[in-house]
Amino acid sequence: MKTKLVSAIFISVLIFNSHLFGGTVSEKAKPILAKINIALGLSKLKKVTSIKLTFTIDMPTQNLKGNGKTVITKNKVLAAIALGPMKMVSAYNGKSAWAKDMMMGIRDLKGQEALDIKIQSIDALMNPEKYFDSIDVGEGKTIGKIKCIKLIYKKEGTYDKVYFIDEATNLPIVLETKSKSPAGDIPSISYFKEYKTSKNGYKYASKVIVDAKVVKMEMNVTNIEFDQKVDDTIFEKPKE
Amino acid sequence: MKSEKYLEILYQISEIGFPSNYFLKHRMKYKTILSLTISIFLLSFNILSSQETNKALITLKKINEIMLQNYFDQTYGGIDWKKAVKETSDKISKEKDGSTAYKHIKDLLKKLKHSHLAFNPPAKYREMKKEKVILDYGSQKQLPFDYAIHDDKLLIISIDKKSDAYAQGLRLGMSISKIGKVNVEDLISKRKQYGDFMPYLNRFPNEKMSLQGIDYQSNLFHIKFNLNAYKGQLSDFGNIKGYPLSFNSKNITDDIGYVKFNIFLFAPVFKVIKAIKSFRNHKGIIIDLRNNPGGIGMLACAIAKEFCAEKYSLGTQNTTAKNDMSEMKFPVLPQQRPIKSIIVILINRSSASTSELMAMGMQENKSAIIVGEKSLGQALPSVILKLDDGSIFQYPVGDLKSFLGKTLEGNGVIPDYEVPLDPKLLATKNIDSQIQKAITIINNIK
Repeated sequence: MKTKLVSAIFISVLIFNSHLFGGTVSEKAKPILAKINIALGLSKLKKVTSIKLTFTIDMPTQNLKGNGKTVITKNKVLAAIALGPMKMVSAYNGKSAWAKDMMMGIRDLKGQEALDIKIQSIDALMNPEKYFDSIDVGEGKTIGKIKCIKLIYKKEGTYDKVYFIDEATNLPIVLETKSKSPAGDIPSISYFKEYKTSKNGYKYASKVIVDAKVVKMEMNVTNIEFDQKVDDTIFEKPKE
Repeated sequence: MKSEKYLEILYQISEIGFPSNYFLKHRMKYKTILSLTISIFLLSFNILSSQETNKALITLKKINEIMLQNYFDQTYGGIDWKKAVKETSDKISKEKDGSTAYKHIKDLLKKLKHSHLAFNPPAKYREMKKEKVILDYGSQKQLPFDYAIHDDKLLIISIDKKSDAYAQGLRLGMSISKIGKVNVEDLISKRKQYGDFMPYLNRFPNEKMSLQGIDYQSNLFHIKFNLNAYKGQLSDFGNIKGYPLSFNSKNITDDIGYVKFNIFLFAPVFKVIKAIKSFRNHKGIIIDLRNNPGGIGMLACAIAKEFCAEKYSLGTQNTTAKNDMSEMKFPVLPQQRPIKSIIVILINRSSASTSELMAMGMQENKSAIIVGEKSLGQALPSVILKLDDGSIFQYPVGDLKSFLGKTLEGNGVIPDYEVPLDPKLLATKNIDSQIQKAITIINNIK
């Protein structure tokens, strides 16, 4: 049961650094996105060729610990996690997305599953309009004591990604969405916390807490590296 | 008296047991010290009891929150859940002993009469009561035999010939009616959570095991033998701790592979998949799920996918809980090189949960032939949580329906070929009639 949940929410969780997407951006959303751009320091990624991020995963109520990494280039993505003996990999090689795990084997990702991995690439960060149909502003709300702006990212055939942006800092603090997997669709809320600024000025949430109702997990970024040499074969779908 | 001085005196008592020169020096009578000590002890005991009772109340509150939000059956089996929780809370409030307080939570959950609903209080109470713990198996003994339920007894279906049990006369085909002072029939009738006796047997408290029963000719036996410490692999995954793993794979004939494992956890399932792949060119593969109590549901998909050419689902988990997960599937996805051997799955009255999910799902999808006896019928997908006070709480999050919509809980899997075990065949010819039937089926398919 829990492995299925983990598997399903895994991909959506790993997009936590891909806060900013695009598409047809409404007039209301444009200035907000511009502010978020500045707050996150996205312009610092223009000349970046790769980002490698490693993190720990803790599921305290399930007594599970693990670690993960994402490696992204301009248009390629690899995301991998290991929770004890359970290992899961998803990737996008620039043309197609795939996943590998013990439960479902090696498979091609389509629809939202493919989208959720694609949107982690640097290209998606820099050219978000390619990946979503629209971005619009919804009714804001206060989360805790923080006044938030609501941004809704839409793509046909996929669940909306609803971000709440801290009005004071212009940083995304909450993502509400649903993950898709062959096992089913799972609602989740991700909380982005403890933003840190990398050496080149890019700002990222160093802690992400995911609440998928039955499963709760915390991820902490342990390292982020830029412009490391990446072997492109890691993005290719394995044969067996 | 300053508290530090008093503690110093208590320390002296604990060290020497009787008044020392220290007391004389301070002109304090031994009686006074003793009565003070006792009263302090009693006071602290009351405080501790009260704390433990409060912990139990907090845990009850947490469990109630979970049940209200996530329990798969929001009718709570027809009982007035809120009233039952209130009554439990009142009972706990009146308790002075933490152990008894926690017992009321167990009693509350028992009222629901669902499988996969279990509560283990914090570890210290489990140790105090020496009760069987379903999720933390602790120190293990090496069980020198395998068994199956047969006529309300445990029938020996395999035995280690190098064991002391064998040396003392335990043989295939013998039926155990009593383990130590425990009647097997009672054990069978009382089992609620799992069809697996191994945790009970492996945690046999003594180095010596005493078994009574009859052999295939109805002769009584009473055998005592030494148990060795468990030498096999133990597996931890999440809140399941120290589960003893067993795995066996072999060529049962030149053209038929056989694989048996005792739980759906990662370590044995890795081995199962490897073994299955090594049998790729065999005509048939027998997967023995007898006595397998289940485990991680998705690992049934991990095995089933190896034979899959076209996507299907082993079953569906439905819930009426308020957590939005209204339907989840156990998907079996096609592989690039699916194994095309004939698959026979063996089940018995102790095959439960994930074993049943796999057997029924593959049966309904014509991916496997099921042989043996009707399974236990305890198959509710669940999660296991560790609560703040160290309690372990397992609860079902969904009802499980098979691919064709049958409910597994309470019904179990009906084999395509119902085959009882035959003690005489086991004893005289070393033939396991269920394995024998599986071999015959495979051989008869052209």
